[in-house]
Amino acid sequence: MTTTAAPEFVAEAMLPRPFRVVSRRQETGDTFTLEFEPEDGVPITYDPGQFTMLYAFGVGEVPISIAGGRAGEPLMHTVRAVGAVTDAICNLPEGGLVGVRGPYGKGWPLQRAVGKDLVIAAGGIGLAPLRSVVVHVFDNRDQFGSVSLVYGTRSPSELLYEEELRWWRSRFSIEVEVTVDRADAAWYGDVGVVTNLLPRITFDPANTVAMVCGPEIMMKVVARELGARGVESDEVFVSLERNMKCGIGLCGHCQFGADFVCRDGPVVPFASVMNRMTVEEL
Amino acid sequence: MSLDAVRNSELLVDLSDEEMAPLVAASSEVRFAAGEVIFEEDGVAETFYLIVHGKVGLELTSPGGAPLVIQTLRDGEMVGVSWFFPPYVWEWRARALTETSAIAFDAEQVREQCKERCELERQLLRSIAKAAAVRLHNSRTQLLDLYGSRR
Repeated sequence: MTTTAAPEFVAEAMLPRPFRVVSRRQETGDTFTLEFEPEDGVPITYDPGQFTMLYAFGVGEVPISIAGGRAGEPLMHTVRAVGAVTDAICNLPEGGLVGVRGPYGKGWPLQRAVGKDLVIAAGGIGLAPLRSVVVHVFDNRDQFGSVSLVYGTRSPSELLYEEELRWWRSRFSIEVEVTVDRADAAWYGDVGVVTNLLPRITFDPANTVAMVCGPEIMMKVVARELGARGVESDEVFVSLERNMKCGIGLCGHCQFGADFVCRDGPVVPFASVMNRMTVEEL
Repeated sequence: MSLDAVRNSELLVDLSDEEMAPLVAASSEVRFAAGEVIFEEDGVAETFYLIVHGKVGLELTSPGGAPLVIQTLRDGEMVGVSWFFPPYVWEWRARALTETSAIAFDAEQVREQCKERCELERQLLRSIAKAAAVRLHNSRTQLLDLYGSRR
């Protein structure tokens, strides 16, 4: 039996809504954080970890994780300029327009983490999809046990959300550990891979949920290290990145084994994909 | 020097009290101020350290440039492994990045003990090999430049 999505649903889901850039901040040499307000006044409500399709008019459309935008706040995206579409989005001035579809996909399992310790592990721009998790934790701190953020990036000049990192650390209600692969003389923080930070944070492996986002090799290494420390692989969640096009599980561009990442992910339990993460070219 | 302070290190967790006794006898407590050099690149590896609390950077120095930190070490980690293998010369410079307390071991005394105590030598060799394997794996991962642009 074949199923067909209702045409009205498809038509609505494929129609971008115009959003206007209300702020633009350069994070690193090639990465920008932009905030958007809807032209029609109807905000997007989302779960942390979901993504939208951002359309640079006349250039093309890309999937970008939602970095923030609680009720009453603008929609926030952090975008790295790595191609024609993302270059165009990053170069939008305040007042510029983009098309937005979504939000799409499955987000981080925040309810599953209630009452448990939470390990948030980010690598590079992978902090962007986890930023809204950190914000949610601060808004609902009493719902969680110990909470730790471990963040690894290339160099001190490529840290995202530097001001917020300082603020998060200064609250002392979550542990924040940062490391870089390469350091200059002015850096007094850690140097090394992000897994080096795991022995330094506090969590009960038997009662922990971990949320991991970064390059797939990084996620695999972190998940394995968490496993070695006693965290079950079905309590470790990773955010996959594939070539999402339609965003609603129709076109198949983002197929990853039996799953469509846009519909069945991007956030998935590591246990469900760990065997696929060693398959070449998948 | 208490046995517990030495045993806190994951590297020495497999040693029995009896095996650890000569290590304790060869140890002393030390403190380093932030910025203090612990040992120099190409220096004789006559003392090695276990960090009790603090942060130590392993650095590569070059003329005309600031030292490059290649790795940081924290609580429970061993500073230096070259003391175990001839010619007993440090390959990196170690510098305390924060105020650091550590346990210092007389390397020659420990090497002499290893000649007489095969089990101590075997356990130390296993611990050092494990630490070296982890550092090699981490270095390879760093070399991948995972967070670099995919352009």
